[in-house]
Amino acid sequence: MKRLIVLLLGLSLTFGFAQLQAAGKSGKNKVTLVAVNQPAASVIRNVAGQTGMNFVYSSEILQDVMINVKLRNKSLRKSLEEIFRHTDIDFKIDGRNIVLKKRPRGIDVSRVRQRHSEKPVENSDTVVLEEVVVESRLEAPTVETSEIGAKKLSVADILNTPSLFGENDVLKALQLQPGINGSAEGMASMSVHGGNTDENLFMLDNVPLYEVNHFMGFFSAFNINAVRYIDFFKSSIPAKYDGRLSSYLDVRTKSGSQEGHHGSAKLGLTSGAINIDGPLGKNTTYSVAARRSWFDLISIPIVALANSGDEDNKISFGYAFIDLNAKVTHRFNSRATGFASVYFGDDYLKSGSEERWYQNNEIFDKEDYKVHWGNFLAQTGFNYKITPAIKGEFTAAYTRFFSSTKEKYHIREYLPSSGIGTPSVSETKSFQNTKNNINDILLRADFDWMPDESSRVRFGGGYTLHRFLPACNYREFSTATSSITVRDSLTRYHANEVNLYIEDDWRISRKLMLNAGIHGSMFAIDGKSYFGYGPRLSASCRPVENLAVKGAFSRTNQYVHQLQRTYLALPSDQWVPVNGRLKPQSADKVAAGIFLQSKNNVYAFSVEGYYKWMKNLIEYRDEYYLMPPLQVWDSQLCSGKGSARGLDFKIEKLAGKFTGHVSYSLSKADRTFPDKNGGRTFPARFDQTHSINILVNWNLNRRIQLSAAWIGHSGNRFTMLSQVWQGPDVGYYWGDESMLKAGINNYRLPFYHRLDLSMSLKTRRGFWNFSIFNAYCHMNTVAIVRKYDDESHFYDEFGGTYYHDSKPVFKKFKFLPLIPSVSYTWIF
Amino acid sequence: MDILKYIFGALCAALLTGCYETFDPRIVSKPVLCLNSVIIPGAPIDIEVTHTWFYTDTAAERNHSVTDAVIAVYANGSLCPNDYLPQEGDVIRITANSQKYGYAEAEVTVPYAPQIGISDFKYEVVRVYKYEEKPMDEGLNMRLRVALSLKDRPGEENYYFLNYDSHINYNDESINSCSRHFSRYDFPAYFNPGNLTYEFEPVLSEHIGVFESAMGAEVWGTLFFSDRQFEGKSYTLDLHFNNASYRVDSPEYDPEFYNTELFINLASTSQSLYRWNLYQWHRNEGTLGDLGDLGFAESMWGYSNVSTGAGIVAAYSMASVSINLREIIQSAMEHYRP
Repeated sequence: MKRLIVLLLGLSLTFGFAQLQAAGKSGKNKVTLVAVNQPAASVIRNVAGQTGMNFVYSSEILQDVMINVKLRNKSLRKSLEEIFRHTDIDFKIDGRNIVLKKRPRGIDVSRVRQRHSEKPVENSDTVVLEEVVVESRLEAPTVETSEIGAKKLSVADILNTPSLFGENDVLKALQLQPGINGSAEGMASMSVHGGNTDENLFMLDNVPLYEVNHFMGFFSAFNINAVRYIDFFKSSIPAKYDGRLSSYLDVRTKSGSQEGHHGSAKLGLTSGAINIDGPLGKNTTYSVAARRSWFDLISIPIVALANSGDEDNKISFGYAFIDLNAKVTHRFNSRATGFASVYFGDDYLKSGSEERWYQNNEIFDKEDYKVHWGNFLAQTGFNYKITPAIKGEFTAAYTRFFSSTKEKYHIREYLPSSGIGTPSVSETKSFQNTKNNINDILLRADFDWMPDESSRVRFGGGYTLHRFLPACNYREFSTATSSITVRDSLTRYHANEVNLYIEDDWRISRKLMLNAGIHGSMFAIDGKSYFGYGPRLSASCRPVENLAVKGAFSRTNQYVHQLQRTYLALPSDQWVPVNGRLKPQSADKVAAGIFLQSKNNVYAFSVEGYYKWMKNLIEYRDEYYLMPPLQVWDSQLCSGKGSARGLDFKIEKLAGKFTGHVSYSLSKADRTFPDKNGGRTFPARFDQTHSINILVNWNLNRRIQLSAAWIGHSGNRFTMLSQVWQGPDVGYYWGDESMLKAGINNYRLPFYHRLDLSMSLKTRRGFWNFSIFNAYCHMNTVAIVRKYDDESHFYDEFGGTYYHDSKPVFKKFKFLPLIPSVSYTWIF
Repeated sequence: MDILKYIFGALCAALLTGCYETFDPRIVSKPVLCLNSVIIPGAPIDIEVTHTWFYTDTAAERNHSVTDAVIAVYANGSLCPNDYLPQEGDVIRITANSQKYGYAEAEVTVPYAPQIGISDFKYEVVRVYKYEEKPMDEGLNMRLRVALSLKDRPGEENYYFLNYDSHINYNDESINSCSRHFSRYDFPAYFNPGNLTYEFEPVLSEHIGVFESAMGAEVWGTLFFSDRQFEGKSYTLDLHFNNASYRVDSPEYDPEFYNTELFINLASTSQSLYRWNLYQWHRNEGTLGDLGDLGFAESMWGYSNVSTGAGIVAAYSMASVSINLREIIQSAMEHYRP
């Protein structure tokens, strides 16, 4: 109860604080700015900041629009005319709002511009679906905000990042940012500032997604054709977000265009994608994006070839992933917009074998495996402008994570008759189904209130009903005379989660900004309630126009965690809630940084330092596999603490023919668990001391764009076992050799580095993308394995022992060579 | 494990290749003492003291004996004489000290033999055959189902290991100690209970969790279990032998060849032996061992209850029951005999 009171008090105080700021109002209509090849969104954000005006627009129309302008103390209208002079964007000033829209096709730009200067365009029939659309909070250059460690990624940013298999990927684009490391070679899952891979919250239009990987992590579940923008936070966490310790990724999907049906179709070596959007009547639009991999089709000839040599033995194999995003948006009136959307992502692995004997083929041995895992998300959202200053976003959603493995075998054996007696047929059937799923129903309301141009208050809350089935196993086994059915680990957990938050983005003066907020949460499970509160504070001081010094503190809480026995994203990974003897995980983080931007906004430099303390971290204890797993999965876990600290440097070129960044991170992360490593502190797996990322994009001309990304970092930590001992002569494995326990993550793998290249070539109808992953073919070491320098060995049948006739050696296991890929995207 | 094979296949196909390169990790590690002992009530205690060796040290791999170790055995806190025969319930502590490799110790409690009995036995002769080609032989296939009752000792954690074998007693001499390693043609008569159909007894698969299930792990070869699901109670194991077979060279008829006995042995084991078996299963049959070796999971080290982390000091007490199959085999075979 005491915690609840503290939480409510905090919320009240913050809200009251925001109210006080609403007192003074000021505004001006003169604009001064210099922009060289700068994104339009950034420029208008700057104008909004100087004038206090609101811009209303669909973000698609600003996509890829770069602005070159020099304004000194110009009037608002003049400034806007200058800004949009060489674009096909029209504007209309309506009170405190400036509405942007695309000029109709076929209209000569110069004539429109002339018409502008004489008389503002009357847009009585303007349909602006996104009048109350949610906007990225990271539009402004970093020196102008109070956030630290935040990044807005546009679709263009993702497309400009070289990719594996030609598949541009949201998470891999993020991995080029300082402080973010990929979990394993080529994989999309990531560790942020020394955290674990399950400490990142991925939200699709405000709703959490649990499974964000395809193909064991080589691709992420976000189809960039459906993405409008992505906000990413890793240091100063806005109060809206909670539920994970390390980072928050807020992916917003795009709505359809009102101006006709458009889309694109992409054909790549390993996958294809199609998306289309357009109007459905006057006030409604749709947007559909689908993606599917070809791996199963590629495997068809390989499997056919394998099967061609043997009539009686057949194998089958197929793997595919698919994801679908569909969204319908409806504008009720100028103040209200609603949408309904569906996301479905599924990985499907099928394999089997069949052996037949005798001519009648009645005797056989058939095995089949089917594995499905993914997410289903259905939601509806309603955006409403309650007053000109207050917007509300209301969301109702159902999200489901599912993972299922089915294994079936059927053996029919024939015992022939010869001479005397009778022939006999024996049949054995087995079926096994293993499931793990989460079903969440979620309701939330988020409000955005701008009492004046110096203050922006965001507040809201949500309720989530979680239903977890962490592990469920069903087995059926039958022979001709007997059968047995076993069900275990059927325990379902129901949990109720309530969240409330409030924050104020307060521009105290031109030199001082403050974001203060608090997130309160309650997680109730098994009759037990856990309360968490997360104060958030970030402040920015701009002693001079282009320099900001920032500091931030945040506390985050996590009630749901993923149990991963491997470093791959496998369907067997379980999402489980905190319960029983485990406490919710929490992290306190302080960060400080200096941000510098050149006067023409072309160059930016930043340095950020952070220290993170993590409590109640949950991991498998040492030798957890020696405990029977049924029912008591949480007894295999242990709780501990961790810390991470580091410095992130970044130099960025934001505009011009060449853009990109160079970043360097110096970091350290460790863990201490009483039930791991004998209680001694050990390095975290992602303890990468040095990390360097270089990304360069070169717009050679209007048709060709070249990109290169070089990644280099200290190797991941690895538990190197080097001493061997002889086991006892007992059991099935007499005298088997075993490895001696050693300190966890006691060894660092060799330095990791690779270069990826890509070229985008625009054609009349679309564009080609050519990419090379690992261009200089430096296969990086993912593990050190114990092997023999020559695999030859022989088996002593009577002694039951293998003898190796060659020397035992350590070998680097290296992964992923040079992989070229090509894709074509047809735009219609 | 088939599914893992396919997943790896998919990975390799998609990622083209992974490769190995011989490498000196330049890691410093120190050898330590390793103690191995499996204690059986009423039998002298046999202790093997060796040392660990660096993986690439082939000389130490061939010879890792320790010659300077001073070994002491304590039973219930007292130093034992060399000829001490341990009893059920004894707490045995073994220490070893070597100037070169340091000190090691381990402790184990000798468990009490379990109380077992056969509460039900069923059989079904599936087929009788006679081959007239040379070598002439005849035989039968049968299904056996044994209900083995077990009374668990209350108030303690108990672990069990199941085993079975068979004998043919020919003129008071056992001629066939059946083992899967022996060739069926080594003996004039032969009985093989076949592999236990593990799926019918749920406790035999209790160590296979969701992860291993999802990866397609099989119960095969796992005959160890704990009392976690029937602590302090009686439990009946449902043992199915669905492919038992009997064969005899048939030129000369001799009913003594039918005198077959099936033995079911159940041992109470120390926790260390149970865990050693569990570790071995994960290492050799499970998925984690393979993935750990490839760097896709935490490395798996050997389970040990010795202070140095090397070796197993274990104990078990065995109980045995038998079923004579002579009448079943003889009546089935003679039914078809001309």
